[in-house]
Amino acid sequence: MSNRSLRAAIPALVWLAIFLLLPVVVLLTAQVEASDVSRVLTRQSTWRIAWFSLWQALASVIATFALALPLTWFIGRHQFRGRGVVRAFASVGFFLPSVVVAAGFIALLPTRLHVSLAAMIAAHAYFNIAVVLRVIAPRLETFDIGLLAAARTLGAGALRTFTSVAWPAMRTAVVSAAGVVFIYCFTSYAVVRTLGGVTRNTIESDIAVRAYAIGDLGGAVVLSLVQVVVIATVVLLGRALARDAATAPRRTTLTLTAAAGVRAIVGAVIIVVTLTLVAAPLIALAMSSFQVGDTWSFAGWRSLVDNGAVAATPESAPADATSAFALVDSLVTSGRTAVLAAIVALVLATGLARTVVRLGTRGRWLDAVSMVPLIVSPVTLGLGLVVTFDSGWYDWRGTWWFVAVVHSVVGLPLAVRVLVPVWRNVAPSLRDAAAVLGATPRQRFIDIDLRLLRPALVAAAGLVAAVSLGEFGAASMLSRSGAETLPVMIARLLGRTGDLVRTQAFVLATVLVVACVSALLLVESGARNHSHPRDNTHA
Amino acid sequence: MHLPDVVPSRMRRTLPRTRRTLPRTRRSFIGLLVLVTLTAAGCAQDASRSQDNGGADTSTNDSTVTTDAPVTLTLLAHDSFTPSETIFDAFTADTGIVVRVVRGGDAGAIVTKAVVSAGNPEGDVLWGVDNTLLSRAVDANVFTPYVTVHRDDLDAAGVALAPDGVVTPVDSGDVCINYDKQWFAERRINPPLTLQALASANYRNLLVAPSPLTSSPGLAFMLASIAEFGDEWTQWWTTLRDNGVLIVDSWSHAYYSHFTAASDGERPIVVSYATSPPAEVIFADPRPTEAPTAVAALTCFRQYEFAGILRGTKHEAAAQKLIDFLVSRQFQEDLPLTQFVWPSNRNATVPQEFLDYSLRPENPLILDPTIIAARRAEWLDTFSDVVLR
Repeated sequence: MSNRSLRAAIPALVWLAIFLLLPVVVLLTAQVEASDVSRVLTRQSTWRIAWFSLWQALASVIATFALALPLTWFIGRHQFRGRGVVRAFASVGFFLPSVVVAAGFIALLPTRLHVSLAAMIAAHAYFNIAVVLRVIAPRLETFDIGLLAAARTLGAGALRTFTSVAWPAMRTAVVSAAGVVFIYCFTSYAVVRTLGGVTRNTIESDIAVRAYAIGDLGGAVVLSLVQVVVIATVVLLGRALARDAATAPRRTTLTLTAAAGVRAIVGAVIIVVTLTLVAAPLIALAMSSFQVGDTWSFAGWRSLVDNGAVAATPESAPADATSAFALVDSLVTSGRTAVLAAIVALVLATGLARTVVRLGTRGRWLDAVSMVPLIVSPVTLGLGLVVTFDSGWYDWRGTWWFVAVVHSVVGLPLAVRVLVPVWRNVAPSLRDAAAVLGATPRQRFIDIDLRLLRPALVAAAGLVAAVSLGEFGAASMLSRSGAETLPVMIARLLGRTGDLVRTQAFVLATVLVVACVSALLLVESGARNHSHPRDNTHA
Repeated sequence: MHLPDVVPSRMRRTLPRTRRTLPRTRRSFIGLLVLVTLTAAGCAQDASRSQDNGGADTSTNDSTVTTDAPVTLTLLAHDSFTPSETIFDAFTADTGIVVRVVRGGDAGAIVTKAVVSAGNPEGDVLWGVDNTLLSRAVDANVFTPYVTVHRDDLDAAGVALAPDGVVTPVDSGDVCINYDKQWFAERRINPPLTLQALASANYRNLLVAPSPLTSSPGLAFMLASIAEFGDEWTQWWTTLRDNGVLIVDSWSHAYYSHFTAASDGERPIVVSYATSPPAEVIFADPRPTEAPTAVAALTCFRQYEFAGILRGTKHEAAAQKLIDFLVSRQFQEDLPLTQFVWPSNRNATVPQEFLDYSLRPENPLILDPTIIAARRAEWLDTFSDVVLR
């Protein structure tokens, strides 16, 4: 049985071995000498930077939880109209390219705060609200409130109820969310560079400086290994702490209470405050798209519809004028890549998640392996891919689908994270019943598991697609033919002089925000029809 | 003495290397890691072997070019390469050669990738290595030399930087101190005209500059100070630091968040391009009659961009034709208004509006690319220590 279930995970493991581990190992063997290792490890700045990466990541985790927990609690425990829409809007930051979010923060914040530790940590919290929300809220949803009442009846105080009943049930989800947020903040690069200022460096931003500005590839690769070791240590430590709670999650009835009375008011306040914070930088962006210099103008949007507005200047239209044609091109490029990445990641993640669920607690190591794409430095991975897939039939550099392959690797951990908890909640008795009625394993998989998982599959695919739309990491190191993707186009326009050019960048950023919100709303509406897999079984 | 950091990758392979750097994690992990690492190491050797063969074969590559079959050339470029969309149509009509443009990040990223894949390139021609990166690429033996038929028409100073035709200069631009004309006029203060002046107390807290570690104009500005002050450059930066210079991550952040002429910022002096004033006019709606900013000509550092044929291309003859086209009048005349740089071909006509608002410094600051390559890492480290403490 165990061997059979492991088989489903093989495609994903092979995929990760080929497109993640292999490139890093090839780069390591080709570029790193023993002297690089000692040079990097004995350099004082290495440890200063590692220490900064560590503590700012921990601070960012705390800030993220402070920002996200109230909303997570309210959404996780209450049923109300518009719940999906709120969830979609609250998550949008995670899927926007960091260059767009940083531009939004800069448009919003007073100049004095542009470069500060506070701005940097606030941006990290902004990005990761979605992680806390998506990982912890589903667990809250399935928590049996009756257990708390039972504990109180038996004489436990509020504190005792929390430490003995509520916390053990929530511990795994909290540690899991904290782990993911920690990894994202630790490896943060664009936010640190833009909002953290030039005197603050994480390991990841130092890797980029070594690789591109200084040309010290050996040093860059060694640093990325230091990064992997530090993150793995912290995450494994966190998992060890959460180990006691590793009992299979208790399946309970859905006990969401309708929000009414005082709770409705509290909830409304939480929602308004959180969504205002989320929306503020995006509204600042959208407003900038209607400004050319100091004056209000539709010129940016007009130039999108026809080239005329900008071309009215010199008789030859500058190529920077971003026409609707170029925009459609780049949307098609981005969309095509996103769809392929989502399909590949979904197929692989389904197999991997199936095995993780089947193996139960023995599947922890596999769960950990699925996280590895998050901790490998995008700069290192990008360079590794360039030196690995470089000749004969496997010379895939510069092909459009290779970018999608990389996105499928980067998106895999998220897809697995979405599928596993939901799959764990599929009652085994359903499969047993079907088996008794004569269904083959394949029929059971298709008719029971896949059908019940449909909302989660839609959600996972949507997440990978959104990540692909906004990804500015490993894939931006790859060479791309054809139209530019939106994030690259925005970054390029932001790097030019000229008020109108800058307005166009904000127009594109606004388009990207709208596209991401629409994709998330679509995912929510797919999920809302089957808000909980087990509801289906009664229908 | 300081050695360039990038040694050709083939040389590196002959050196002893360590494997002990793999992360040591839990036991269950290690089994899988070892298994895949072994497989990977095997594949890696295959890959490097074929890469070496590719390098050795380059001299015979010409013979593989057939005259009749349509050739598609891959032109690798940085993300800022944005010529008019139809610019290569004429070239294809003339030669039958199709050009596929592939973008691969900023200039530093494309050069780094060219270095790791020297001899087995991602494309046929590379656009956009500049004089601050040139020697890094040349030392790694990235290019195959070719002397273009237009050589005598090209900017002589640019050609002099690559005398044996290892690359061809395609355009140039200057990174200079820009200032807000109105700000200085209103206060009846003279704007700074030299680098030395910036250290004066008159300009306390007025300058914003991008960091050389993360920005190409930032690097050019640091090199300008080295070209101007020689070994004294760190003292000048120390004075500048005490005088309240603000260093930010990128050019766009400096210009659009802190520069008074382009933002709500409070700093009227910024490190930018000599072509920023014309861009301020051409990309404004409505257009002003006069640029709101001006350039301090004596502070300019010249950046040359080059194109080169990548060693290991299978289409060397076609690539040579493409190099000729890139420095032909037709292509060069497209550059000013699409990329805001000066053409390298002296016969190219520059649009009047570009000439009207642009300043072309006569004696810009410049440094030998070989010196830049040899000392760049050391300089950047020094800069970090002195200015970014």
